[in-house]
Amino acid sequence: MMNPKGTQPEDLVWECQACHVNLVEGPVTLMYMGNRITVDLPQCPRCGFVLVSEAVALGKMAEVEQALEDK
Amino acid sequence: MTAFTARALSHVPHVLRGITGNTLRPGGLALTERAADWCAFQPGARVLDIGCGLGATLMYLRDIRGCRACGLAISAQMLSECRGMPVLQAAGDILPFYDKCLDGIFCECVVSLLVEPPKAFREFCRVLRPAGWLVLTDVYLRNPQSGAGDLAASATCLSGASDNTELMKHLNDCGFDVILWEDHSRYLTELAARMVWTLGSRELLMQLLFPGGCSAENKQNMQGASPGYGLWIARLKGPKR
Repeated sequence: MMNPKGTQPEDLVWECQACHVNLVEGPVTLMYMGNRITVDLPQCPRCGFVLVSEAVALGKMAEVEQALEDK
Repeated sequence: MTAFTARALSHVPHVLRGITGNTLRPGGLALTERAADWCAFQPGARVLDIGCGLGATLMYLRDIRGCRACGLAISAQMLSECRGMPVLQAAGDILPFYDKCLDGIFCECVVSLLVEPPKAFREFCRVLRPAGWLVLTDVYLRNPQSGAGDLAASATCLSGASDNTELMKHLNDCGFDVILWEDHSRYLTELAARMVWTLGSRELLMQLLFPGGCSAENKQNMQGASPGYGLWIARLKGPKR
């Protein structure tokens, strides 16, 4: 849960509910329209679950999708 | 000291280096490796890397392929990072080498920065041995007819992106047979996408590419011209009979 104003998802320590271990930043390969890019996102070191926060999905991820559509 | 006749990138954006490492170009070393395999450079081959930048290709050619590779660039700042490797500060179109002394030349993401590419190609001809190899990778316009807009305002290789047909003609006129041409635009697209991700928005990428600003019309023209990325491998033609 986000509490103080201005706190961003990446500022929080997230825990994988299934594995009970903290998520860690690591490389993740994203694919869109046949293009693949590798970026760092929080993920579970045990099960590989990747967290894409709403801010990331609607922010830089949407921007990248638009850039690839405009290419 | 000769007058530099190429546009030097005034600085390497931190974000670009963060993404590409020391190669500073789309695709990293992938096309370098492909070209070196294609040309079958043997250990001891004399190869020149023009526009060697931070020395990534030079290190690959020397340490992995065993070539007697030498680098050349006009930026003293970049050359200072090629520690322990033989490098020269010179322009790409006035090479401080004897005639016919090289087995191959790599010129990656450099032709688009040259003011007069044919002049450089003629110089490459002079220093290559008969049937010597020329490897080019660079941005080009996939749809040059649409008009590229004011790409000259760009602070990147986009400013000199050429038409593939024109580039092939220049190479042929200057004494080369183009043996292989491949489109690798995927690398350019993926680099742009990673830069957008790192910077956070397309707008910030445009500001980086066009520090002086880019009008909506030019932006549209640039998209219409569809910048792509290519690999050209050419061989010096034999003597006329």
